[in-house]
Amino acid sequence: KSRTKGSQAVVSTQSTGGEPIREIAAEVGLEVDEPGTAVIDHMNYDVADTGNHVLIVAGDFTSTEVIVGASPSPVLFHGVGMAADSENPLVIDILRASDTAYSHSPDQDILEYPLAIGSSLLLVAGMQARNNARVVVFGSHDMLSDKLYNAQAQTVASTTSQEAGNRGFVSAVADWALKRNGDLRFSAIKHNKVGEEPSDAAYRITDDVEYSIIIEEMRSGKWAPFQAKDVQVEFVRIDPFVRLFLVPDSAGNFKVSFKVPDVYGVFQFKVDYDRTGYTHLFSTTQVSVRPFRHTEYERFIPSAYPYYASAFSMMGGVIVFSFLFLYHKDTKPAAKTE
Amino acid sequence: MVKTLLERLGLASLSQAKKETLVQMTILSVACILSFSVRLSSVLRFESVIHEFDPYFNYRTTKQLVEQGYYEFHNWFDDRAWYPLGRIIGGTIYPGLMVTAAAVYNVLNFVNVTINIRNVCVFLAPLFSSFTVIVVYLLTKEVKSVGAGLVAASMISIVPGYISRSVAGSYDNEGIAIFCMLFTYYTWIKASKTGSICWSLTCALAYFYMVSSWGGYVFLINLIPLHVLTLMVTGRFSHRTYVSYCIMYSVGTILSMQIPFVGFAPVETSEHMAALGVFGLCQIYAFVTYLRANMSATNFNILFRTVVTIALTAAGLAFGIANFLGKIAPWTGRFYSLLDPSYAKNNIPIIASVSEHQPTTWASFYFDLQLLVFMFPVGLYYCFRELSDANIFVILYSITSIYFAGVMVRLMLVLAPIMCIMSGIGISTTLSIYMKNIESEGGPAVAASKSSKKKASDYPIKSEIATVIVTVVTLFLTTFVFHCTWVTSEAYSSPSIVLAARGHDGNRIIFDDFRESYNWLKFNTPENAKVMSWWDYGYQLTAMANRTIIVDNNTWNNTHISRVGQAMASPEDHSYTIMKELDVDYVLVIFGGMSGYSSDDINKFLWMIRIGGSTPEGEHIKESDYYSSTGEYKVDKDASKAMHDSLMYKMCYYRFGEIMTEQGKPTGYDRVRNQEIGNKDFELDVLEEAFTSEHWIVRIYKVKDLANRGTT
Repeated sequence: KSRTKGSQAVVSTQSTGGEPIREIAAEVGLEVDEPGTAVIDHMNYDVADTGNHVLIVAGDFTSTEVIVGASPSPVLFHGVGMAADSENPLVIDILRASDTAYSHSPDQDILEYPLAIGSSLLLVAGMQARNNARVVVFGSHDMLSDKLYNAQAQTVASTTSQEAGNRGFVSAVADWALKRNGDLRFSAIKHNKVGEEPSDAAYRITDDVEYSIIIEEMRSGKWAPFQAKDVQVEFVRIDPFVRLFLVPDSAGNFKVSFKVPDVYGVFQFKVDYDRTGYTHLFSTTQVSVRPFRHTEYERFIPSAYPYYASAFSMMGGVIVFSFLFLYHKDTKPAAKTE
Repeated sequence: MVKTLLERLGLASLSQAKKETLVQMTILSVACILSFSVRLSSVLRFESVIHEFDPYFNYRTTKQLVEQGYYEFHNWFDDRAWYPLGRIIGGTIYPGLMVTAAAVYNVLNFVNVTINIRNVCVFLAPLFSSFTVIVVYLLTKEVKSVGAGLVAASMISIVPGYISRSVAGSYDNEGIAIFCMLFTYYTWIKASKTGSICWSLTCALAYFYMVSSWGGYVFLINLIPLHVLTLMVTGRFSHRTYVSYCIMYSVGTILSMQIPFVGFAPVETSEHMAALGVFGLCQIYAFVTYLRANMSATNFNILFRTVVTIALTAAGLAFGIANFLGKIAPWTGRFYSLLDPSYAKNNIPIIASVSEHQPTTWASFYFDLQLLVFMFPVGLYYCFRELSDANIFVILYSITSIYFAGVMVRLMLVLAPIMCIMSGIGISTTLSIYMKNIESEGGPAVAASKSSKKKASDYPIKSEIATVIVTVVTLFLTTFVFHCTWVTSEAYSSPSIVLAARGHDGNRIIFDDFRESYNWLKFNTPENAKVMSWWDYGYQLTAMANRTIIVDNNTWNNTHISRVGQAMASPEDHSYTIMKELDVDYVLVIFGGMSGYSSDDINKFLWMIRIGGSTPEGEHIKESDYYSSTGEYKVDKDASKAMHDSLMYKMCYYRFGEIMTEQGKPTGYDRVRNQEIGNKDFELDVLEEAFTSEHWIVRIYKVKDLANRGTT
């Protein structure tokens, strides 16, 4: 439930791509446009384009750094476009086409609405499945080729050219897809009363508890302590009663302590850390929170002293009264009534 | 013949009184043994199992008590039930039953009778019914005579109205509560007759035992004040009554407040206010009597009028304010439904949905009481003829309990003992009147002495009339015995966890699907799996499958039950969000369409819809949506879309369309509803079938995870 079971895949296709590839793409929520079509952009094509405006310069990357690396430069793309399944929440748009692009066969008239246009047209897309397996689909073989790796990118509109970002982009995406980056794992979940060792016993309402979890991150192929400030733990019974940020130390040990709410029931410590590009961390630990035992209530409450006093004075009064009643002799015996 | 028998046994030399005692003891012990053994049919027919639903919970808690000790039991927080709310067991039950069973168990084991706790539980109710026989004898003896007592005792030992809740295996509060209640009445009659402090304290202790074992103690704490009040009104109130009631009420109330579940209810809720009011009235009455004895009549009248006016105004005002501020807890729904049978039906679906809370039909009066129904007025007549304090008490008891038994089937149990007592009095008195008349012919010496005394009441063919009447009564009593035995073995000895039916060839078929499935759950699902089912099966699931459940038979949280009702009544995708919210892993439904078991979940489904729709979250669930266009509750192709789409329908009828259930009928023919189901070919999206029992009675589904690759 928590760790990866599935495997990773990197797939690339082309305008001439076959049916199996299209099916794989469909499995992961992507629709590859029909054979013979290509992504066409009449505004942002590369100067080296041969006339169909299909060698385009694309720079609309996903903002997730862990996938595409820090500040990637625009890449050259020549290939087929894809559209994401709007029903599938797991698809990640890694590289989108620019606003002026569309997907169509270059030598046919446009009679029907294209599969996708503008930024809904995907050039590179990925998916992280619920078991954290990752799949990336490139819409172009060419962008992985040495030719484009070493090419210069220059749109027709601009005057300066720069080195195409293909090499850096592709290796970053591949690193992500093959889980050399952005993979998280957790271990050593510990929860206990403050100042005590962990035990199986249930917590009591209003106990102070500590919760800690070690989270590690795969960074360039090595496990390193994870250092995020936004990991939260929730104390949930249907609804979260407590939701707190976990504070990491240098070893990636995330820790927080809090007071159990004054509500009994079956609770869960829940860490549900779901960030695009990272493994979905999901951990629940079930604990019971019990009410006070009969010996744990306060025995003498200050506000109850008047009642104690009244009870004892009553008892005293009864004793005095009985004593008087039993041993007091009436002067007139006739006054006795029964 | 009796004489020779006695001679042979060497008992002829005994005095008349001793012989009588011997006969009494014999009759009483035979009745005790009979009452125990007649309740064993269920064990003989099936096996020594706990019955029904609630007893499973009682059994589980008793085990906890025996294994962990009283304090662990008292503080027990059960995290297996009502997930994720949990339930404080110690504070939400009447512990009398468990403590009694544990005590019996410990005593027996202490004297090296090694009996396991389950058997103690199974046989506790029959044991206590034997005790009840003795108490009924004592009570009737106090009210009327030894003869009446013996008749009443023999009757209570076999009356079906009481057997229904006390057969072996029916390990429920009522099993011991009836004993406690009658014992309290007995001690109360003793106390009010003698005015002794000792009897009053015994009464308070008996009351405490009663409070600790059943919620029905409310009846008792209203009946005794009613008795006192009636004595006051009829001018029979005496110092004896004053002493016994004041002691019983004050000590009894303080003791009853020691039960955590009762807590402060005796001084806060309306149900208990009558007792408190009568207690106050007693003081005033006694004081007024004292004043009247010491003042002149005119002075007293002036004082009396002023005080009464002021007191009534003040009391009315105080009650109004307290009510307005909500200090006096509103009357609980069960109590309202006692007063107004239609209240629950209109307002609280969760109460109305329980079959034993339904009004009683005439047929079931006859079925459960038979002869007693007719002999009861006779007894009542004889009670009215010789009015005494004790008689007034049983008259009040009988009239109130008749009303309550009419309102709720379950309270037939309270009515049965008084029916026996009254009939005992009736039959015994009738017989002793007419027996004498028969004797007058046989024994001339007796006749001579009697005829001189009772010349006025002499009439022709006196002896013949007497013979006819005695014969008829004997005949009635014999049929009563046959009826009781038949009812016991046929109707009240089914454990309902194991079902029996007759096959085509007359063979008995045993359906053991419940235990089969609970065991499947126990051995095939993870230890902490959460199982959702309708609340009826909650207690059995925790006790037998040892799995966490969402709701159970202790219906304390309406919202939570309603949530489960919504999950069952909604379409799959909506249900899925509810099930995820409640962390449900498995869903269990009871389905009778295959086997013809009629109390299944489809028949209870209307209640799920009603209860599910009764909270704000369930607004989308409307009862009318689930009826067919002609307004009928159907499962065939006329059924509405909401019905077809509901999770309950899909779970019950999944793959059912492929099955032939009866010859000459199409596939998917529901044998309970006698309809061919309307939607035969469908798939489940969010659930997968995990287990279906042999006769399809229990079906268990596993809740699927979300699809791994998004939507596919």
